[in-house]
Amino acid sequence: MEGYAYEYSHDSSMDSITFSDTEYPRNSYENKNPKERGISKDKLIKNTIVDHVLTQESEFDIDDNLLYSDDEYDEDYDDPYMNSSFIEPISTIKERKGLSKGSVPNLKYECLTTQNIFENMLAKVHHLQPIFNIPPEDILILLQHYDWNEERLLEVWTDRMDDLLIEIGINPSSGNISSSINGNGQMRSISDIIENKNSYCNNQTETNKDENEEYQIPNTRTRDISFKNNFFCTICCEEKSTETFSLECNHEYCISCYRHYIEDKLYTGNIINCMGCTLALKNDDIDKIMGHPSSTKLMLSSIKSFVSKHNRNYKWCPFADCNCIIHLKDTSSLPEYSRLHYSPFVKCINLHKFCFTCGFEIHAPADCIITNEWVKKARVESENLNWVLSHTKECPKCSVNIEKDGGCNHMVCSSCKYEFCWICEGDWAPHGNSFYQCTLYKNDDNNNNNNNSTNTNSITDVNKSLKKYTFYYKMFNEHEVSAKLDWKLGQNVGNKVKELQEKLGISWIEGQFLTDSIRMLNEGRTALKWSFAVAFYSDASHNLTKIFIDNQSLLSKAVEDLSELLQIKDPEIIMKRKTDFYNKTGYVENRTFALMECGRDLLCKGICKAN
Amino acid sequence: MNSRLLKEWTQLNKNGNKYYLCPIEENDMTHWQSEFEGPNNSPYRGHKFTLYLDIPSNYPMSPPKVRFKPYSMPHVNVDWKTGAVCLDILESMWSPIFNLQYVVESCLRLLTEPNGESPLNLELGILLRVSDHTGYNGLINYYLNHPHNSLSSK
Repeated sequence: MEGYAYEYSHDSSMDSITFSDTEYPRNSYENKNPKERGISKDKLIKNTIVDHVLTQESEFDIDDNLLYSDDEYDEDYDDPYMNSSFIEPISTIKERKGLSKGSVPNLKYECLTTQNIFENMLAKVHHLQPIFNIPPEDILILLQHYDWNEERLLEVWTDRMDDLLIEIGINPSSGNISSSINGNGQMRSISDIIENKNSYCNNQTETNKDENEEYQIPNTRTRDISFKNNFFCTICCEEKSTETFSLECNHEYCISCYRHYIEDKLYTGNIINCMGCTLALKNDDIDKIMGHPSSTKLMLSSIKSFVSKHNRNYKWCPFADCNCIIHLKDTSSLPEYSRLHYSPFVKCINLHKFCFTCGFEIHAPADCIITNEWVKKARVESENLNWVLSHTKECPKCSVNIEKDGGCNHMVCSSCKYEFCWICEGDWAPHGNSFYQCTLYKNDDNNNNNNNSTNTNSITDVNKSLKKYTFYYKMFNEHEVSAKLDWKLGQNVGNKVKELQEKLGISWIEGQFLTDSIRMLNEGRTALKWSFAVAFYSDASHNLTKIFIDNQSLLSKAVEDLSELLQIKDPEIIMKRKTDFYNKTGYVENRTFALMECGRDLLCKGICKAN
Repeated sequence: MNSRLLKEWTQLNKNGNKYYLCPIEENDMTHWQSEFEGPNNSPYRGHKFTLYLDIPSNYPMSPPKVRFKPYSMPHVNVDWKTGAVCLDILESMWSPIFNLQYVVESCLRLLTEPNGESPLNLELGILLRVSDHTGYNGLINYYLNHPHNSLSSK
């Protein structure tokens, strides 16, 4: 497909941002088809995939009306899209049926891309255009200045329209929208700046009224690039024949200085002003100076700062290379979630699931506090773990992990009774009667022995807690690794379904049990993984903890069975064992739910708590 | 961009360099300093101050890094220990049109017009906020007369 390929990347996610100064058709984007709006096949495909998935999953209700019910308005409701009529929610996904049984209200959210947000911003501009009756580009700047807060802007607008336009740098001054110039402005040098500093520098931060009066000499030229011979630029202090740019204020600088200046500012997301005064550069000007549509970058950083300023309602998807933004309209239910040790999990358009509160991947049965503790501990302990790995050795024969707690290098494996030397890991027999010392590392080891004997007590204490942690961390890690492998398996599932369709003539919908299975496998794995964090922080002596651990092993077994089933490659066998797939998937689902509820019980009863 | 600095340097020499603004070493245009006396209408009257300006490589697109000599400037917007200056034109409000002399002048203006909104020196900031001018001026005087005292906001 020709034209723009819409990518999910921050840099190229927007085109068609600029308006021309003279004509600004109100429907410039509304009339366009998706392709022209810069949304390409890619995205459409992704959308259809999501649609399919949504239709396949009965537990996901799509309820568009819920999104736009106005009665959820609360005072923190800081939403720029209220008046946008053409925005469609991409996905509104309720919590899983099982988990929403409690008293927690369902989350209503939508998944947006930067493109969506930008379209919403444009919608706002067009909504305001008839009221303001100024070019949309100017409204864009006004909205940018007011963080896209329409109401605040309208308030100020009705109060003092003209002052605002000057203040934000849209108009040079009230009576002076037509251009002005000074004949020698282009030759202004440092000495002029110094001489005129009262009228020049000092006033720059205030208003540019005086300045315009001072330099007001009639001219026909407005904001544009022009070519000058022997132009002296006051920024780089070089005299050269070059292209220059100036706004109506006629602060004229060479194009290369302007480019450097703009390049730095594109990433701040703030309005870019003339270097000499407060007059604002419009997107059009930016593109003209830079020679390519750079204003998209500015808009993107503007959107980024918008999202981070509204981070109560907006969250970036934390997954790498995913640029989705989840917009939660009503955050009032979040405290209820944490009170009941539920977590507000959301799913982006690329099917990444994460917790809206802590921005971490889906982590049930652990809650955000346990997750946070666990992750922090993992970061600290990973160093300690390295210590363990470097201070324990595997038995050369049976590979059991052995920790040396005494000084002697004559090791006897407690598991296979193999006798070996701790230092060289060789058979003990050749060492003979050499005082239980490997001759090679004699001195080195003597030092170690001394250290060991003085610190024995504290080391055993540390080791005990470390051992416990190491165990749980290993389990956690194991499932993480498995989950990654399963994820790869999932990538191939599409092909498998295709194979079923081609070889056995099975309909796409009928083949979806495979997709369902892999999804459930992933969910089960993740739950299992995080359950080890819960187990680590739980009171091991409590009966409920024991039940939890039983649940863990049941789910573990179920997950492994399903995983094994999914390894089958032959399409015919897959179809033959279809009921197996259904049963095992259902079983994993039930066990996952049971484990999650049991974990939540531990949390609610305070049996599991972070130190 | 070096020609810009050279140009500024020649202009300073031509027009009378009243703030003794100059490169610290003759052949290194990236480190400048300036010396001036405290303004008469301020508690800094009668004291001499040194200001260091470090010029970034992309000057004038980025502002110079400005600091007073450490342990010399008791001011709400100046860190006593490091001498770092908190001034809007040195951060978000910077424009390439500003030059080094303007930066020095701004710092000088800061001495007569302290900004209590963004204090780096908390002790002085609190005094300024509660409008305790006697205490404020007194503390500044104490600092000025004990220049190497490590008494400082933590």
